[in-house]
Amino acid sequence: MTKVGIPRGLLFYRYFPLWETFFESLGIQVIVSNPTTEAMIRQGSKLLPGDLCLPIKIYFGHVESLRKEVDFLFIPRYISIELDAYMCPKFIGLPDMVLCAIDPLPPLIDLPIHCKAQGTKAEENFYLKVGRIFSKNRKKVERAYAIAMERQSRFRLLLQKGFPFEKALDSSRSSEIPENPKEDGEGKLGMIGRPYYVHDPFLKKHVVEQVEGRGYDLLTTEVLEDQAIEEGVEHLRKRIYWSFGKEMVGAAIRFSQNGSVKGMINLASFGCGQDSFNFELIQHYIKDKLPMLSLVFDEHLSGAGFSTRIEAFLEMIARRKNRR
Amino acid sequence: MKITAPYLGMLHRAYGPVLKNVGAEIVYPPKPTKRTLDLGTKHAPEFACFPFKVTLGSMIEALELGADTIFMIGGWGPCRFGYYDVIQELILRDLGYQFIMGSANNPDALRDMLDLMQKISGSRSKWSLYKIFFSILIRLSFLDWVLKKYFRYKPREAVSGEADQIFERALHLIENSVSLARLLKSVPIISFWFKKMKKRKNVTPLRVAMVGELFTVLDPSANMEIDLWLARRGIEVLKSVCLSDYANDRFRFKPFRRNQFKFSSRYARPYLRFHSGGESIESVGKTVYFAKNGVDGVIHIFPFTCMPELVAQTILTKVQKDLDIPILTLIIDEHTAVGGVQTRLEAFIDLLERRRRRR
Repeated sequence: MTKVGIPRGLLFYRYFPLWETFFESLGIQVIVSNPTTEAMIRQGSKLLPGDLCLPIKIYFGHVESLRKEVDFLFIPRYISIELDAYMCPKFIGLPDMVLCAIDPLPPLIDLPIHCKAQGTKAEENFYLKVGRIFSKNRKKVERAYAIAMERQSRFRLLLQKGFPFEKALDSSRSSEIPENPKEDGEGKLGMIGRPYYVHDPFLKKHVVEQVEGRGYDLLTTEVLEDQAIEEGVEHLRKRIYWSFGKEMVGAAIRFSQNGSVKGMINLASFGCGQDSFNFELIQHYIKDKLPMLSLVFDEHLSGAGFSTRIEAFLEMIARRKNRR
Repeated sequence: MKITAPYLGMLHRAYGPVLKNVGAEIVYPPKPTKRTLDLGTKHAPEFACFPFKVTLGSMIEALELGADTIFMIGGWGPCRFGYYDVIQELILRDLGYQFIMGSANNPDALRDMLDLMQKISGSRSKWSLYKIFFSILIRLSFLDWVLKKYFRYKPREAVSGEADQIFERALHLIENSVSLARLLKSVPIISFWFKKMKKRKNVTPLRVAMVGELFTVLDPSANMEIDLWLARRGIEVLKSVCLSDYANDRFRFKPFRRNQFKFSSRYARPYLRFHSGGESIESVGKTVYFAKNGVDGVIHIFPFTCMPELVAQTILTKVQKDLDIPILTLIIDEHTAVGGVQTRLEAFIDLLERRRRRR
């Protein structure tokens, strides 16, 4: 059986259900790299120039750990997933960077997705083209894509209901949507960060689990529907032309309008070009409407430093609540 | 209305005479100094890239001098440059300045540029704006031509400082030639000056290419003047990008110059197959081109946290191995010191000289 490897990094945290179901419906075995470890981060940092952001280094660590076990590596070139927005330049150059930094490699599946140039059909066409590598039967590929899209939309729905990432991944396999069993904790906090920051095990340990361990609910940007995010950013002077940037700024503005959100944690990667502008916008539009904690991480982050700051921030929020 | 635009290389020499000629009032931004950078750094987001900080400081200095309309190109990704104008406007408004920010959503389209100019200037007809726009671009290409000549002849001069004198005289001549006919007439004169210059005998200077992000490659105040420093040391500097090429790729006004973006993509193809924003294609493609055409070494220079150039840097490590060309990576931010950069350059030049002797 053909084995396709999917590194557990970057867009894995957004599209994995789609990818997995698509390949499995075509009768291909999907192999995912193990959850991020410190050794992987070290390995990734060794392969790349020092100034690249941590998520890219983590991704390279995953590619390195995976490359010997698989027949194909799935590293699609995400250029744009919307008509008027790009992805990060590093995503656009990702397959080329992998080819230049790691050797030898199994064949890459690195077809582009470019909705800005090719229209909304680009995503479907991409999967049909990927399917054609493995199967001559066009009907079969189309069916696989339809099944995969169904699961992906179930996955997004579960995230919107507030399920944690792993739970949503599991539950999206079955067609029934369970109710969210979560009871109310201390209060809700907004978490502004890309999915590959928030769900990555390494960062999750230091940030998300710290907050949730103290009884607060974290709302990621994924709990909002696309429509809500569009409403959040509609008053900006110029549309943000990065998909994730738009999501973060839109979500931040929506959280600030939502009375039940008590505070917000901004998670930025050191040296991330887009985050520098997105958080400037967030700070400008929200200013004193919500308490905000900005955390910047890189591969040298220490858990103790983060937990001290998070603790202080949560105490401040608790005091605000009591005063009212 | 007093128009200004952030300082960038010789841009002000291009738009200045043209706009003055049609009666617009212009405030030239001062040449960036330590103060410009400090102003920009103080008010910009921490991880904003270096050009953002310099242009922000440059805008503040121009506003202090009384400008009330800022011309900032704008754009639509994926590089951060397209969003500069929005963030800079927010920051400057928060500081209490009153001004109009002129920027286009798609500066690559001629129509958007003309709309923008119409918005700023008010009532002018499209045709006259069209003429103004292209005369600025044409002037820019003459200035770039002089600059290229300067970098060619400076390392070969026998009498120290003669090339600089000619360069100043040439800029002066171009500034004073208002019409296209006079501009064209100045070409043989300037060529003659450079030809007549006394040259060192039997010297083939080292050739070093500068590739990377447009702003740091072009503007001496942004790259610690390393291009001028190299030229003074007798090294020929070739640059991967110049402003008139950048404009020519989009508006096609130089009939005999091919599209440099397409040219670079052809060379970059084995390594970088898709344009990942900014000047990433030019950086990779021109490095390959230069390496195959007898350049001794390449300096890859870009601002700290520049996303497209980081992609290029990763890819250039492979190019370096494949084509056996030394590449020095210089990352510029507000903490970069001239001394540190020059020490690294000295070591790099020593290496290049030794490599040449060995051949």
